[in-house]
Amino acid sequence: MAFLELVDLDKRYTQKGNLIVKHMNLSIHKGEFLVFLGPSGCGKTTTIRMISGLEEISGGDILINGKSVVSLPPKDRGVSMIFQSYAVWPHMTVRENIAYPLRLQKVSKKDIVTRVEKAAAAANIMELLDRYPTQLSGGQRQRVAVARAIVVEPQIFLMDEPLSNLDAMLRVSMRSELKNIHESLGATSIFVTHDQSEAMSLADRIVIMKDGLIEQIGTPKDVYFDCESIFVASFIGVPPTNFFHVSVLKDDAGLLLKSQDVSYRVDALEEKMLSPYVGKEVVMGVRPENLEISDTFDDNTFLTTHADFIEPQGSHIIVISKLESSVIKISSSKLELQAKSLIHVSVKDRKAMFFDKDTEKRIRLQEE
Amino acid sequence: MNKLNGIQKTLIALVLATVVIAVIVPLMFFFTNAFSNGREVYDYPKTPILSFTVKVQVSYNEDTGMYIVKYYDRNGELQNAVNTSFGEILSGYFEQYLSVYRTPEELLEQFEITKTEGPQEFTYGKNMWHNFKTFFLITSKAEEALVNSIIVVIFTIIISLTLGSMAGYAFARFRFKGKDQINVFMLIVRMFPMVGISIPLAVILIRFNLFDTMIGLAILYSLPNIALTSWITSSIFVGINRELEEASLVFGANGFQTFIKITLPLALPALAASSMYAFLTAWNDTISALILTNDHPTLALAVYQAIGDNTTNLQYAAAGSIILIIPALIFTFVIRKYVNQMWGGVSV
Repeated sequence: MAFLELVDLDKRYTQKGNLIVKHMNLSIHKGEFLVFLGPSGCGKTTTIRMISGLEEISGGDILINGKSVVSLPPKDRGVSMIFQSYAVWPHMTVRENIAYPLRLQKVSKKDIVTRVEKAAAAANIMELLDRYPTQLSGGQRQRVAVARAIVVEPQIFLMDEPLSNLDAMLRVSMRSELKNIHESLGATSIFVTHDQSEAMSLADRIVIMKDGLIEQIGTPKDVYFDCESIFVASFIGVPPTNFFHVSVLKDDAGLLLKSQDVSYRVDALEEKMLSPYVGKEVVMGVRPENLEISDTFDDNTFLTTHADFIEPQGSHIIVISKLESSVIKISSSKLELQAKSLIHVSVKDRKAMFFDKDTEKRIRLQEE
Repeated sequence: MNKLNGIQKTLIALVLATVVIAVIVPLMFFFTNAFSNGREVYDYPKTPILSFTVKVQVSYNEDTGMYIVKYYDRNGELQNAVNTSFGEILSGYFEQYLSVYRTPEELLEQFEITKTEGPQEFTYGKNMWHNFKTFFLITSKAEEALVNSIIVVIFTIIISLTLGSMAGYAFARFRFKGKDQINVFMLIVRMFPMVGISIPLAVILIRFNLFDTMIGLAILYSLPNIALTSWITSSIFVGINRELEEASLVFGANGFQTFIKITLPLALPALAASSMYAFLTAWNDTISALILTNDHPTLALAVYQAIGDNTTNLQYAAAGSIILIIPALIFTFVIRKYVNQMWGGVSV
């Protein structure tokens, strides 16, 4: 039984405007850490604002614990939120900030003190309680926002790009703290970000959105290695997936994928998948680390090119090579590789993904 | 640090000179007048420095049996004051014209010595509050006017802040048809001189039985200040991050609680600045009060009338003006703290 459910959720800002969120369906389990990931303007923030009740919905339903919350004001939905700007009230001390939600709930004064201190301890800001937010650094304000969010013991945590205003170092340490807090409270969290490394490291499941539509829902591993669409494959991963537009050709030995630059012999499993596409073009996607560089040409060689640039990354190198129609990036551990040298590239362990050129969706094996 | 060049020095000198001529000198004359006694006011040339004592020379005329009292003016010259043998007249003269409070017996006893020793000089401390006391004595309804002024100021602040800040919030937060036009129209209201509005308003107020009441006067003063308040507050409301209000909504407040506990405190500097304008409009106006009141003047009007009635005793009018200035000064300084604190310090 899903804890939070979005049913055919629609959002448009003006009466006749475009749908910002289109028929979104999503089930979130209790205790899950869900990350909405997508480029800006994809509707991820709008979605969590609709869940929180700050934004009205244009259609569909939101269920928490099986009950529709659409008609409830934000305060009655049992959610708490961490905002991008922290939204820490500058005219109150840190203590007053954290106590504010409890005061409104008419919690007794004694309980307020203990709960505020507990939350402050969890967020590691015990010594800042009597300061004003203007006297705090960005990271400390963020902690105040976290403490305020956990003090209400919400059913659902909503986090709207909470780390995007922090510097890189702080961001990394804050995100593991957020994960810790999530786990120790056992709350259900929804986290919005456009930073994929954040999404990958935090999420139990990632929801990848584009133009108001969910492109893929899956574990970080799924969305990386088992992409549902060209968008996901190109959006996730640095450097991104290499794409090749190839024609599916049939010859005596089976199916052959070919373009100006590449040729790829299809194995039995892939042949089943690609057989409906004989004579058509498909898009082949290979992750940079799934391309293997060898010095010699053999049957498995996928393409042959020159290593135009080499970017050392410490443990590995990124080889950049210009092909006729595109640029490919290969992640390799051959640290000794020289620029301009001739390389033969093959696909490691047949880890290639095929996409329909028209729908941009992954080509999957049809169930018999 | 660069040294100032000639042009800069000249400019600074000019600015300083302007400040001295335009601000300090008139203020000093004004202050000395307010604390002068009935004789010092007509000194010429005038010394813009306060005096705290009066020096008199008293001699005794044996033929008439009268004391001849002369006083030293600010230039040290002797001027005739009064010739009398009656203690009451002496005391009255000292109080009214020299701001010196002495009983008749005390004066007669002191002057006794001139009968034997010849002319003597006496120095008396001035009662500095004489003009202020007299202002309230001679100005009809001065106390009532002070209370009236306070009432009208409070009404003006309440009306213009409530309506103005609500309008300002709407301008800052909501999109609606004709918003820009309304904004400009509100500016136009400020362009009309208040006198121009007061005459038609007098007719309306009479219809509503509000003529000669403080609430009616406050309505007039609020007209330009509602527009001003909405302008000032809307610029502050725009600057308040919406997420601050949204956070309050998520964390258990309803819209009204959010406005009271979050938005309003953050907009305090704007409200402080607006209330200052409202205060000054209502406190300083005379001409509209003259038109719109009959038996219940405001303090500014009372002072204005005191000047008109007492052309020979300007020091009382000056004292009245000081009374008029002091609350405005206090209010401005109290408010200034908030205006500075927020506009300079807290970023919202």
